Amino acid sequence: MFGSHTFCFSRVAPLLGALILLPLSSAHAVDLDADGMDDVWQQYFGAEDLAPGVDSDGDGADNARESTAGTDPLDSASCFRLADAQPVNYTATTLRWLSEIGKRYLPQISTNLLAWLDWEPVLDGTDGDLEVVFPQTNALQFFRIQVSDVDSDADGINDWAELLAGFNPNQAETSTGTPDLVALSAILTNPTTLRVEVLQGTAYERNLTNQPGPGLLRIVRTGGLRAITAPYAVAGRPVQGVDYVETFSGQATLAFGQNELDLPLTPIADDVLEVPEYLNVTLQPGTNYALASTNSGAIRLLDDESGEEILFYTPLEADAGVVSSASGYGTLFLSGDHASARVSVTFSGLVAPQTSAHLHDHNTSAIMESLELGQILNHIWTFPTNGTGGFTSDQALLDALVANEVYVNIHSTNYPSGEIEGLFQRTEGSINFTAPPPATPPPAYTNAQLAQDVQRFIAQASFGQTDALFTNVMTRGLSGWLDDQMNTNLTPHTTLLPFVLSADNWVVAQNNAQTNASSTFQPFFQSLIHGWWTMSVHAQDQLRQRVAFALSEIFVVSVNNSTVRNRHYGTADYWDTLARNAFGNFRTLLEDVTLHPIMANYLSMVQNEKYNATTGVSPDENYAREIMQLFSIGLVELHPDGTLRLDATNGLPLSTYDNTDITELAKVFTGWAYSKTQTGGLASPTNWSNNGAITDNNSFGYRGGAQYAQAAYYHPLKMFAPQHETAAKTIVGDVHIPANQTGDQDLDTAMDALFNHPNTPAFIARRLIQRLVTSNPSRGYVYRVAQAFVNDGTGVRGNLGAVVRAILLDPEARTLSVASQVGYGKMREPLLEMTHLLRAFSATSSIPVSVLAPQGYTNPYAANASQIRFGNAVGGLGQLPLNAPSVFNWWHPDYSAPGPVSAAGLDSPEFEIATETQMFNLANLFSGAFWTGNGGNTIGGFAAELPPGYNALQARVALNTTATQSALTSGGVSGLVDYLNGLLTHQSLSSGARTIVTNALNATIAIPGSTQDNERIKTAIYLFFNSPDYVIQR
Amino acid sequence: MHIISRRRFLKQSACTLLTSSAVMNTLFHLKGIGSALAANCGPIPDYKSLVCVFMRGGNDTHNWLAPVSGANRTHYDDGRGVLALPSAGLLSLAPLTYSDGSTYGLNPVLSSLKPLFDSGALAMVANVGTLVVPTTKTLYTANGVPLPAQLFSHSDQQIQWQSSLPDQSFTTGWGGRMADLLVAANNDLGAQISISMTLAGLNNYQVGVATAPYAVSTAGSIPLSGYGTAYANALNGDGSYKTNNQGARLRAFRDLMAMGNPNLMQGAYASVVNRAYDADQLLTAALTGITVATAFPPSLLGGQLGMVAKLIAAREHLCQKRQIFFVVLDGFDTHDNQAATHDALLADLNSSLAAFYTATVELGVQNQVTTFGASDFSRTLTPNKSDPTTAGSDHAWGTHMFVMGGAVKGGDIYGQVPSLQVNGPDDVNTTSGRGRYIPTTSVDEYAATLAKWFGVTGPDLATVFPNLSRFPNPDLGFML
Repeated sequence: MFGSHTFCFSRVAPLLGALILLPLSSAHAVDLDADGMDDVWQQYFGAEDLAPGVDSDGDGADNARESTAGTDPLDSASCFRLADAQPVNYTATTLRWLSEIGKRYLPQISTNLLAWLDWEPVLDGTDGDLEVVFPQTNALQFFRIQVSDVDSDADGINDWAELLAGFNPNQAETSTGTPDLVALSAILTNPTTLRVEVLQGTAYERNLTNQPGPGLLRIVRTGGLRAITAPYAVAGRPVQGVDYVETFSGQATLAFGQNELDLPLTPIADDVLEVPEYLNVTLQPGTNYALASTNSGAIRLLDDESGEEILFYTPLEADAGVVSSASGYGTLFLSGDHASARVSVTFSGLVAPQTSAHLHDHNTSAIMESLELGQILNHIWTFPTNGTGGFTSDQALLDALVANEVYVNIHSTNYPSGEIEGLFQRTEGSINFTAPPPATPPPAYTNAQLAQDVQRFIAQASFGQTDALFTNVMTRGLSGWLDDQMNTNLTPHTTLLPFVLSADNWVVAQNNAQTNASSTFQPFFQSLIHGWWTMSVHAQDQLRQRVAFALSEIFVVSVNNSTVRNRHYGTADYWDTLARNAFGNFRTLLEDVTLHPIMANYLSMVQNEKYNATTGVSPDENYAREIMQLFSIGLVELHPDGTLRLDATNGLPLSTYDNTDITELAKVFTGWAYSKTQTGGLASPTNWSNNGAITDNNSFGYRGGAQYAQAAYYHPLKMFAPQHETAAKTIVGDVHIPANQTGDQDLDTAMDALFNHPNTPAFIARRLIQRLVTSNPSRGYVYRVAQAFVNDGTGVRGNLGAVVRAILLDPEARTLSVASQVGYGKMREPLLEMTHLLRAFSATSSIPVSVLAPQGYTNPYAANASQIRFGNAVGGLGQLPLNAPSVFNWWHPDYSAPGPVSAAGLDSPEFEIATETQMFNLANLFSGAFWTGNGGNTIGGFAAELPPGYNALQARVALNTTATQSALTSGGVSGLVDYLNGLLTHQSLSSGARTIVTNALNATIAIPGSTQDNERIKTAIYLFFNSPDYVIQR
Repeated sequence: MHIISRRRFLKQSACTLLTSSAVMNTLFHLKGIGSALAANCGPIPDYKSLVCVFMRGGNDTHNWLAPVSGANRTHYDDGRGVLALPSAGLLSLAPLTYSDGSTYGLNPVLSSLKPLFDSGALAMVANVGTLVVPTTKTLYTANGVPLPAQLFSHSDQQIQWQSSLPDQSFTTGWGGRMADLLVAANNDLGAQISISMTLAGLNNYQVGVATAPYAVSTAGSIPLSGYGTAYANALNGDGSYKTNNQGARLRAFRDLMAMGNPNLMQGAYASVVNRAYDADQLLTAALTGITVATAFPPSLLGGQLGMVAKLIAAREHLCQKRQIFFVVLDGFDTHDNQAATHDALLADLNSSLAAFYTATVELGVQNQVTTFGASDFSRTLTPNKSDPTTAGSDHAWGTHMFVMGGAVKGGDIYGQVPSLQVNGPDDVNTTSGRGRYIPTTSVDEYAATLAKWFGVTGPDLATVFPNLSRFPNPDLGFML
């Protein structure tokens, strides 16, 4: 299509005749509306509605010609014309004109205005001035410039239009696959539509390099080419100039052909924690365009690209005015985008059942978030946009949190408005410890309450109540009795080893005295177990032995290990070692345990060698690990009250040691082997000896004598320097052990390090409390006992006598009302139920302890005391003396029964063996003793192991219910229940249980072979021992 | 199969949370007590059972699956010292696909498991262990990744193997979480005994939000004694108490457990006793007349697996479409006297596992029962004593595990056996190392492969194994 020839006379050269600029017809213009004008040109100049033959701007060039020239039809100053025409010394003439890029300019020369000669070269437009110099070859000369379109890539669109419309004029398919003409036609045809694209939807005040991290929106045009101005609305919380750099004018201006306009959002960093804020940009309607459905976009403005959570922490303490020793802690992690928090709350020791848990605002007490019941792990608290609990926005909630105004409150039935609470504080890199508040001393009890206190105390401090012990403690008072028990002049230490040695000799002698003596008779380790039962029932040093029992469940060895079993004199001595140190110093205890051959065998420390590069043998790590994990400091760092120290950045517990600490400590425990040898020990009963000559051992590899020559196993190990690793070591707590110390020096340093470790007091305190009093001591209780460990009042650390006293006399052990708390108490161990039964009902066999006198045994018990010869035959107990399944004891100290106990955050160690089968086994142990195996009219009893020469009835352990019978005779069923309630359950039988038991006893009658009284007594004991009030000692 | 929706699980959980005191009551959906008649649900389509054999103490699997030849044999000879098994005696394996340039064999004690491997009923999964995220030596050395808390500690690693959440404090085990999802299938059939049963006492593996294990002994369950067979001396035929001493006593016993206790531990104790009473009657009835002809060795493990076989045989009476069992062989903490101790333990595993597989064939359920191993960890390659009798090994990390059953794509080794070079590319140490190898397969991947076979699929897998998505192989491919 061609435009018609129109002249735009702007200037006439005065001297050399007419200078004519002649727009040539336009080629390759896209003219979809067939109006004779280039559609691209029309959109470019807003000339869609102009008519071709009209000179709209009156500049002399009609619109069609302006289209050809690429000039503005609405601007009279814009037309194809000369910028300048100058004669050059009358020999030449220079023409200069403003060119359009994409147009082609052909200079021509004529002398008559009729015949025109092309003048080379043809010039391509530059958007700048072009000039051509015509030589003066004739007096009269006319010059003219023809402007034309050119289509370099022959795609049907001229270069001028292609360039303006954003196409490549040298490529027919600027976008491969779509001819430019097709594309341009579509652009020209389609209506102009604007949309918003989100290119970077999140902006950060601080990106990973601590710079502003902009967000980016883009306004995109489809259809049309003409320039557009589109208003847009900016909405949202971020404030321009405050939260982000001022860049949003409210008007998007797209130039001709411009299809995209970027709207970056550059945040301005501040130090305020803010919830995610959204900036919304919405295009508004306007002229010459339509809006796409995606006419808006949002940028989320965040504080920090690192997305690191921020830790808030709080300890939980009793609410004001609440009497509760419950405690716990909460962690709250503000999410990286500050839109939510994840809340974890660990607590235990509520006095009453929990009813609810919330996050509250400190100023108004309004509930900000409800939490689930029980222990809370990673509850996600999303800040509602419109706020909650009186806060009207998410930011307001966050502000309250940041201002340390959010507290967690645990509500219980006793304290509906909250039992324990804690105010979340941003940790800022550290979590401080605050000591628990002092406890209220227990009341001074009198009369029935005094008796009850004494009965509870006896349950905590002995193998079981007897009438005599009750009278004794009532007379002496708790403190006086403790004094007596810790005074070896008044209460000598009852040792097991002499009993076991003598008992072995005795049973061998008994065997040999029989006419049908066995030639292969061996005592094995039963004498140890007999000695333990006999001791637990009869010993006067009840407290010492009871604490030794507790220690034996911390410093565990087990006869399920063949050495511990077969070297039973050593194991007896191990028990004696625990008992000897029960009121001594923990530092001594720790070293005595470490160097005891039985422990050294059980945890494979004996005969450990230093590293040998040739054989590749490294020191055994077993003892190094367990002495830390189980015997002294534990796995994680503790506060002085036994609560966890948390990492102030990630809220996780801190490990006390790593594997390098273990391999280093293992080096300390090299070079230790037996210190004694012994002759004798032949296994044949006719060559029997367990008292051969004992001499010093000088051989590292000596493995002990024959089975009954066990001196090596009850004398402490000694150091063999050649096998000891003498290199420098760095053990837990960064304690440095210099090179070339002796093995004994190394051991001292290591023992000191563990003894003095900040964890040890609370770690040991909590374990001992669990063994003696309650499974879930409050942090205050642990703290008070740990403080007694730290300093016994005379500046001595580790005085276990002071620790035991602190445990048993603590307000939490003594205050009767504390026992009514829902989480208080501990499940009685089956072993302790059995010793309790035997002691309460004066169990006897017909084999006196005194029969051992000829073997050199001095009876430490009452003159008529009899042997309790239970071996491995106490079926149903599920627990036998010194027979834990592993060094982790029968249970882990933090075992928590699934269900309500676990939900309340309570540990229930003994429940780990309380399976369904085990509970019935235990119940059946009692019914077996009373009914299925009681042998008629007797109250009951238990089969025991026979020594040679005795019959089953003599060995049988029978119960004596004389006192029980008296209570029944004098007080009837009610008197019987009262008596047992004092003897067995320290008067804690609930009224409901009392009714149930009483009804059963009233319905119990004589049966063939047994009187009504006997049946009532047996039934009463059976029901008492199975009742929840008994099984859970409170 | 019946797909248990996640929504249902969540609903169940929510109810549990709201009424935490009732948690344990949901363990048994008792429809009435005192019934001595065994139910019979008839053949159960799509029945499946998963048996966890926990080798407590840390099985030294370097002497379970040991190199016969190749580079790893050299490393083994260099490191193992007095604990080394001679290559000549090993039961050489010819894995279907596994290849790393070395060859491997089973401990000669495992002579009955070798044929199971050869016939495709047993697979080995190499170097599995607790991981928080995939961990290389480079990352380990640079402290570049979070590690499981308390690596190398028995109690913690046992819990983490059983929870599959080594970066969280314990709340539930992965067996328990599976049980929470799958228990509905049992409930739909009318099952009244827990989907999870343990022959080895309480454990972490089977603790769920809404489910907990029922502990039975190798003899099954036991009743209260002193009341005659099936409580006949204390109970009338209609379940009411007889008017005699035993009736009065049993009534009182039961009333003491039913009276409700404000103290939480008292309540927990009463719950255990009540479960013992109710479940015993159900189980005793279900096991009546059940026999398994296959002989089990009279060993620690044999007794447990023998009872598992019976409980599987009684599935139609228990109305259980899914059963999750837990058995334990204890004693693997071989710091000393390893040679004899370990051989004895392996002998028990060898004979008991083989007998169990035979029993499942006898019962016709070998394709529906999968047995897998788990343990605290493996042990150090290097010994800790020079005397071959007393020598032992110490705690380590990645361990080789077995999977056994007709649904196992056996005869192969899955995962990647680490380089056994001490201080080498897989040892946690570069100097003074003991041969503690960083796991190349996570417990999550191992367990999820089993769980998927067991019927935990789709988004439920992420519910049971929240960390699974961190690892590359959610299905190791060892199950058909």
